[in-house]
Amino acid sequence: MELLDRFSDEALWQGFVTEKDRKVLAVLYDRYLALVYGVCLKYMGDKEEAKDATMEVFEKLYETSPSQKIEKFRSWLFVVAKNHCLMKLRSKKGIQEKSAHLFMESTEVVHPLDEEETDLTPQLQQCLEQLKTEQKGCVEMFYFNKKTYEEIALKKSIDVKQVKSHIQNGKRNLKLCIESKR
Amino acid sequence: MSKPKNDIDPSKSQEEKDLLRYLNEEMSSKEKYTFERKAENDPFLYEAMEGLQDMDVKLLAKDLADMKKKLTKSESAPFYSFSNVWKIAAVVTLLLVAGFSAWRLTNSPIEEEVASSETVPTDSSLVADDLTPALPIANEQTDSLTEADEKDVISGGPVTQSQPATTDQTAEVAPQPVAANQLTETTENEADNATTPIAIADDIAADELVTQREQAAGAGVALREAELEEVATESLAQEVSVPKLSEFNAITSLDVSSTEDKAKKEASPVAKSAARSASPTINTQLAAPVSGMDVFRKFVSDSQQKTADMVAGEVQLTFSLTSQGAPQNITVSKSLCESCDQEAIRLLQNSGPWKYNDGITGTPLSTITIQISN
Repeated sequence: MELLDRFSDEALWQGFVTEKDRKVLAVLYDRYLALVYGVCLKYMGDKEEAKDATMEVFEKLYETSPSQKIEKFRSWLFVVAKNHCLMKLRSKKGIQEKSAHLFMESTEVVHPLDEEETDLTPQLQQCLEQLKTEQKGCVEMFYFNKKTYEEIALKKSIDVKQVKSHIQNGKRNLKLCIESKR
Repeated sequence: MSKPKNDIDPSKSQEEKDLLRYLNEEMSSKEKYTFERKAENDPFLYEAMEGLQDMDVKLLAKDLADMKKKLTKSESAPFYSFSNVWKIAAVVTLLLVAGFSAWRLTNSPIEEEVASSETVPTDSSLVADDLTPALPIANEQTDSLTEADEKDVISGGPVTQSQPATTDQTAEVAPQPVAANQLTETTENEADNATTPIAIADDIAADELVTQREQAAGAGVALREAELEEVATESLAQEVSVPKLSEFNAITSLDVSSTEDKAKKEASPVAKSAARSASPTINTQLAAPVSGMDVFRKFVSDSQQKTADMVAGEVQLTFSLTSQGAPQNITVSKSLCESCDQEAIRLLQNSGPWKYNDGITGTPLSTITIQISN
């Protein structure tokens, strides 16, 4: 197992689909069980339902066609887990209409703020100034002052969830602003 | 653009430990920030943190341990494992073979003595024969309740065997041949007849008496009218228990057939068969094939099986119909030869469902003449 731990996700997956060695999957369980469970808990809301959904997601790995090309296992598994939970929610609520917009495909685009070397370009600075006060304050404190969510919450006297919400909304508005200026 | 670090980081299980430490407030401020910054760039981790942020860390650790245990078990014996697939395939194959064998047994031609008189429902076969009248119909002819006049009836199709049944009336007329399955038919008609007003039953019985006489005259059978009257009187007299028409017909048909008992002998298996091109002369009085006379005529012509001792001529049969239209109580009114008679009976039995002509009530006897060509 320790030897397998040294391999990347993609190498392990490739090993599973070619060698059919299920020990390989155990390593992937170890790596992603908590993340899948967390995602399922977020969408399902109920602990038992989230556990069921998590088990189902990993059981899906057995049914995945070996011919399916998976470039980034982590991103692929996230999409599989999220879509599976959304599907379960849809069937649970009896929603018949196709809500494809709910389903994500990939999240490979890195936000400019999340790049390793965040340069405060004039364009980015200009867009930052256009954000709402709370969003601007939280984004600046997180990305430029390197404060944790909790520290920002204490400073702003708001809830951690609100801090995260302001950061997410600020990032989205920044992205839209930058794209509009291109 | 930076690549997600996990693409090159071989040790992902560390992430779970970090997550638990983060949730359990075990990280330093710097570690915490680094972890949060990583989550901002990793939607998988970010959403997982959102899902887990309100959860007790000990319970989370327990849940994760439980799920890993289950997954490891299912991994070692997944339902869709190779061996399970073959087990399922084997079971399905066995079921298919068993089902097919049962189907073959119930649908294969039966050639046997009907001395034991067992009954097999014929409803489904009759329905099917409505569409394919030339196909053999299941309707086994009769035997004596006293087993004195057992006969073999060769049937090319499904055979209905009748159960031994005795009633007061049949006991009186024994040892004359009785269509045992018509007694079964009685049971089928019992619900209807049991609620029939006695007066109506009497009328029907009286009408049938006339019919019996006419048929007997037409068939050239010397009916003993006194006996017929007597039987009819017995039927009419049973006012407490409503007379069952099929029982009545069974008795009267015994009278008709009693003079022809000798004509119904043990049938020898028909080994040699040859299609005949002769067009049989068919006279029906009260009933006709559901498929129509043309189809019946063709069936009789095409299906005649010749044996060496057959001679050309006519065989006249008398019969009644079950509620499902199967000829029953078939007796030979006019005999030609043993083999000829048996062949005529076989043809009638296998000719598909019949029906009484419009206006005919009850189940009176009808006649048909089949010409055997040499």
